[in-house]
Amino acid sequence: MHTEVMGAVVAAAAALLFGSPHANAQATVRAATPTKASAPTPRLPDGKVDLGGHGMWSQPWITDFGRQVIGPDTSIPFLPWTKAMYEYNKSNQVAYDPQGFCLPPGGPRMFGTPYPSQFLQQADRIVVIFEGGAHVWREIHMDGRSLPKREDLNPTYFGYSVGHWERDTLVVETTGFNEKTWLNFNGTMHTDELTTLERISRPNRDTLHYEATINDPGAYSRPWTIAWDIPWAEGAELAEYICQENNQFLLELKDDVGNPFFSDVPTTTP
Amino acid sequence: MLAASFLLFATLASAQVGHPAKGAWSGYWGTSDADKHRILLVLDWRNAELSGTINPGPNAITLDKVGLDVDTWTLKLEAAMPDASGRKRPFVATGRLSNLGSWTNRTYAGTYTFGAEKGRFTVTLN
Repeated sequence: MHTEVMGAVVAAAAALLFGSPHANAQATVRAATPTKASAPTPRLPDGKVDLGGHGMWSQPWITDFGRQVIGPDTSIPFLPWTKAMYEYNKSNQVAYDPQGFCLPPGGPRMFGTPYPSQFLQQADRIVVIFEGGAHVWREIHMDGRSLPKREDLNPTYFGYSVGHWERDTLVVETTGFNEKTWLNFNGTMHTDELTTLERISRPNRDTLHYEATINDPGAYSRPWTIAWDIPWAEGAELAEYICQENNQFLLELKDDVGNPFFSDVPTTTP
Repeated sequence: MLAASFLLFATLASAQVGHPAKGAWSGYWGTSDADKHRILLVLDWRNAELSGTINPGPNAITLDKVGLDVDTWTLKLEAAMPDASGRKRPFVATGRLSNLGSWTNRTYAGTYTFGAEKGRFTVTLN
């Protein structure tokens, strides 16, 4: 069974995921606080932090962004409609999570999806490849270009990202998201007004510290920031994982009125 | 099976999971089954406000007011709509959004008044 298709069976999903070799329970440490001796931060010949290496990032399963909020106010600043939709999604065991349909997670959720990732660094771009989340990749432009206006972009799952280094922290601005994803597994939603500001650092070889500030005036009353650590798995390699293959969950999913979620025949009116 | 796969991906391509009222809705309104009219309703959510248009095109009617009560998912639309003689009359539609998680069968249904006329409407998210 695929991770992305487990929305309707949360408890079973947790049991399965925590038993998988790649999965980690939801992070409880929000800041980079290495607890054991670790190799130093690897660097490229030009001195920049090397976010890659012979291994992969073993991403945790962040099921609840509400537990990862940092800053003076650690609540999610829902607007009334996002709060109501959050409650609705909770009431149906997040059955309609788009990631359960094998659509890409998009945005910060990609780093909280329990399949590993790798960073490929070039002079003009950084590409992050993900084993899960529909086997996707994300491109971060590092050539100094400015971030386009949202209105000038074709909305996409991962949006359009530009990045730069602030000392040893990779800072990534992203806009141009479509509205085909949830921010998080537990039903926090967003609009196409979403922009993110990610700060990614590697305080030592074995830790990637991830922070993302979510700014979406169409869904939240103020920007809010989430953070977690991602452990390094030295020597590990990505596997091929295709969520779409044999997604029985999707074929069997029914909507609120009992009709097949995907059907090519007319459905009854609720 | 191949055809089914194409249908599936065609459906996936239309996924819309942002604000539940946002999108293009189509269906019928009228005083009875014998007197019903096609309606296309386009709603948008921008700057934390809902706005919309009935029957976009040369005879489009811009909604004056769109209000959503998220506690009951009751959506109320108000517009000045011309009748057969061209005279504008108040159109008020009040209904409930249902099947909120569905991309393919999300529905907005309820009752309306158009001047002295009363009827029912049902539209489904396209």
